[in-house]
Amino acid sequence: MVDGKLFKSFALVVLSLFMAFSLFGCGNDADVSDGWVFATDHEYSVRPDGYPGLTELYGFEFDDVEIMDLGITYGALRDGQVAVAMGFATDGRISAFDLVNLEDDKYFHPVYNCSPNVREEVLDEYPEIADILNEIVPLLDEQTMSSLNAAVDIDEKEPDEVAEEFLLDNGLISGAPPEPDKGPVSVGSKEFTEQLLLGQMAIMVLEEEGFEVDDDTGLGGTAIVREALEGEEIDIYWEYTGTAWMAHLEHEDPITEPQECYDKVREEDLENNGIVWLDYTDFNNTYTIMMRQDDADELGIVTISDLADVINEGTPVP
Amino acid sequence: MQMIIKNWFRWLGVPLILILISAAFVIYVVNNPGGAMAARSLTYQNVLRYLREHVHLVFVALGLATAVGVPAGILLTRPKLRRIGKVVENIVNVGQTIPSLAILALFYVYLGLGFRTGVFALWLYCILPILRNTYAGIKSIEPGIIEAALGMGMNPVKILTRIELPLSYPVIMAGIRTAVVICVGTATMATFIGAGGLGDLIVTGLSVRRTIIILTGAFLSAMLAIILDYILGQVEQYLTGRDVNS
Amino acid sequence: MIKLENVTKIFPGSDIPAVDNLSLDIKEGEVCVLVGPSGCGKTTTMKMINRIYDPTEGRIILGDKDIMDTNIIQLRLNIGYVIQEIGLFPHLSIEDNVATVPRELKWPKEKVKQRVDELLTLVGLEPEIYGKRRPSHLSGGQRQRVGVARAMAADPPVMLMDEPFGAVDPITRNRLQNEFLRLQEQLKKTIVFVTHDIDEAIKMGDKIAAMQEGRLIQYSDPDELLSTPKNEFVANLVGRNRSIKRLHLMHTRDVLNNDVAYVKLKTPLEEIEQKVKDSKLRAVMVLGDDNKLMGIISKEDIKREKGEVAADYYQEILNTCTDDATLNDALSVMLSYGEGFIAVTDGQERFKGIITVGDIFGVVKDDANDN
Repeated sequence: MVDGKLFKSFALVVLSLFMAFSLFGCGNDADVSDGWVFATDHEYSVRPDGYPGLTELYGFEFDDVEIMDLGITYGALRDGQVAVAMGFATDGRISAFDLVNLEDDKYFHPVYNCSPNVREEVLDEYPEIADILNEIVPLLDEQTMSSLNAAVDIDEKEPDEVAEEFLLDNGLISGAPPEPDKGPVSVGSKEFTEQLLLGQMAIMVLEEEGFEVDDDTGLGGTAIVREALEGEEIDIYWEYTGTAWMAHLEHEDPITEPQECYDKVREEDLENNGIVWLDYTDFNNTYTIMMRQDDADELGIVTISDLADVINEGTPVP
Repeated sequence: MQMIIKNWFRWLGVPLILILISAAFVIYVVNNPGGAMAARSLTYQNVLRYLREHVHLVFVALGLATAVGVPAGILLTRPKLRRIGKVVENIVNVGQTIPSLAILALFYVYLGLGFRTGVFALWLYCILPILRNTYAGIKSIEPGIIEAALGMGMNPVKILTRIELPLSYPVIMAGIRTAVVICVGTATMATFIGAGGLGDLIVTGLSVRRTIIILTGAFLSAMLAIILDYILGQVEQYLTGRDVNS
Repeated sequence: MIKLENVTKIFPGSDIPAVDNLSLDIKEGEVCVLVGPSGCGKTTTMKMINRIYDPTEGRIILGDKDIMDTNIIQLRLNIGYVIQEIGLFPHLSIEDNVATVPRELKWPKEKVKQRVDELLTLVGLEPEIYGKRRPSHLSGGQRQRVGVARAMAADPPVMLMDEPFGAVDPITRNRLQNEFLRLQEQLKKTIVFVTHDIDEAIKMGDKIAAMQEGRLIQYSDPDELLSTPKNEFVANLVGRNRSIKRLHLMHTRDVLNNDVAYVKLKTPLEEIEQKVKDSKLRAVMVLGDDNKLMGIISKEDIKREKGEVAADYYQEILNTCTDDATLNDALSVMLSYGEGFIAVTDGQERFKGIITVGDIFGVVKDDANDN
């Protein structure tokens, strides 16, 4: 019977499609696997100063590497879907999620200490700007920056609110800036939390000293903000030493010593581009390798070398 | 005899050629990555792993989508559910407009990361064209044909299996083909939630600005879509081939 | 055979009944035509007989059983069904379409095959040529034939036909109607036939049920419907000029004039000349063996000298029809060939006589006087 046959063949096709699709797919990679699984973003997974170099220098291998969006490595680690994850050292979620940064005891990761960049002409006109901004710098260690970031990212406060509170607590501003009699100067920033916070701080301390300040924070990515500074559209923004060394000054080999990196960048950027680097922060917003605090405590892991030893000994994940 | 050779070529030859082209491409890029960064990403082991993950995601999602979408589409055309059919069709159409990344992000929150979430989001995405086409295919059958069948004493099950399904399978198959293409493309997004696949290559390439890595991921995913679509097209033609011009 | 007793159908969500308290008695072997404007409930009435719709009130008796007591599938398998858009299954071949019901009835394979061939031949489609084709490869008229063949496949005593010839051009429709009437004469099915075309109703029906807004207005044979319409609605339905409509009812055999000059193929020229001279038509028919109509010789034809006997002179005659054609058909043929008469033959092309335009007008005139 032709119509019956037609139906049967149709049913057969649909069914076999289903079977083929399902069977073909089954049996290989399981869900996020057990063992020492490492969560990384796409970039870190291939960069020479990322995962490939890290495992080579410390001499260990993870059981598996899961590549995912940068924003979710913290959550994946908290939820126990991976044992170790990469992130950025000053991210607010590290403290909020009860994670811990492992110390980069072999100085593998390039350094990304932050420093206010000011155009030379602006500094010539208002030399006091250097001192004003340098006041903030020593207050910013990793712990502080991370908790400030967390106030915005986790507690959902506004960056200017958090910045103002922080400066008031440290007595850098009075809360009632005088009528401006200088300027104007323009402060820019990139568009992520830490940059917005640093930008707001710079604006507030300058206003406290009687500057009229244009708020150009949240301008865009690194390249855009740097171009704005070079194009004299903004006068001041915070840049990271490692970023300047690799991206703006176009060097291939990263520097992993904070002071060395800062010195080289400062010298070259002033000479070539007329950009003055003020003091640099103690916090180093570089790549970090994180674990859950509990796991680290249980296995006595503090440094990446400790982690390498534990993995190489074949100790299972707690 | 010539027919048989021609059929074999159509069924196996063309996909085989496409696979060979892909393989040649992979061999070329692995041996000529044009830099250390790309070389680290483009190893046979990596590329095959991403490809396998991709196929895995697509096949499981599509299999489940077919298994659910076709029966659900049929159910919606039954008289008792016909009224909600329209509503479901609208929901399905709106659902299709939600960006795939948004679906992934949404389910990541509830299901966590990894393969399972990826499959679930893809499944949800693929089920739409399959369900919609099944529903539309059956509904578009001229009512006179169904009435004639009814009047001739066929029961609803026979009408479904002998009249409605055979008449609408070209539309249903078209839905599955649409789903395949959407699925292969959308599966590249799964990389954001750690479900792997060729998206790993594309996004990695983007973040380190290495075109060859992007190109490899994009090319393989396009080839996968073309091959699967071709094979399903052949299946469709095989079924409709007996049905020339009607 | 089919009896509707006070049948009412109210569709859900509607206050007005689609069919309102309708009673109808259809005798075995009769063609009952339901006619009326669209929305009058004729199709609904028909579809209640095979329970596509169930009546809200009232009973329908088929044979001697209430259809509500019959298994619905059994009921439908025993009723042939031809619907408006034919409803052929486009994915199945003609053979498979026709074989649908016999297969539902689980007839043995050979019997099905035999029956399909028989039916296709009956409706004038060569099984060898058309059997394997798809419906889309047939013309509209051919599809209608397949539709009828499919409905008759299991030889059901009852057939329901919903505008079965609605989707074809007038000439094809006419031919299909005539073929159908000829079949019905042999098969004597009980048929419920739905149409909105009063001419078709008059032509096809043994009984006509004129319907308006769900109610049966008049149920009578076509003659009565034409001569004594019950009310204004029916009068409007059949039209003012009802005697013209009667041309649909009368067949050529009823008014045949067989006092016609004819010659045989071997008749010599002088005799032909004489006969043509005497004939009112100024022409003679030429008959072959067994009175088969070969052609015609007119005054003009014999002027040119070509031979000795009729066989050398005759021309082919095109304005012919069969003796079961209606006068309406005959008149259309005359008009289309611009001739004042038509030659009538029987089914085997044997000459029966002629009809002139005058004969037809005579019928209309007599009729007008009667009224």
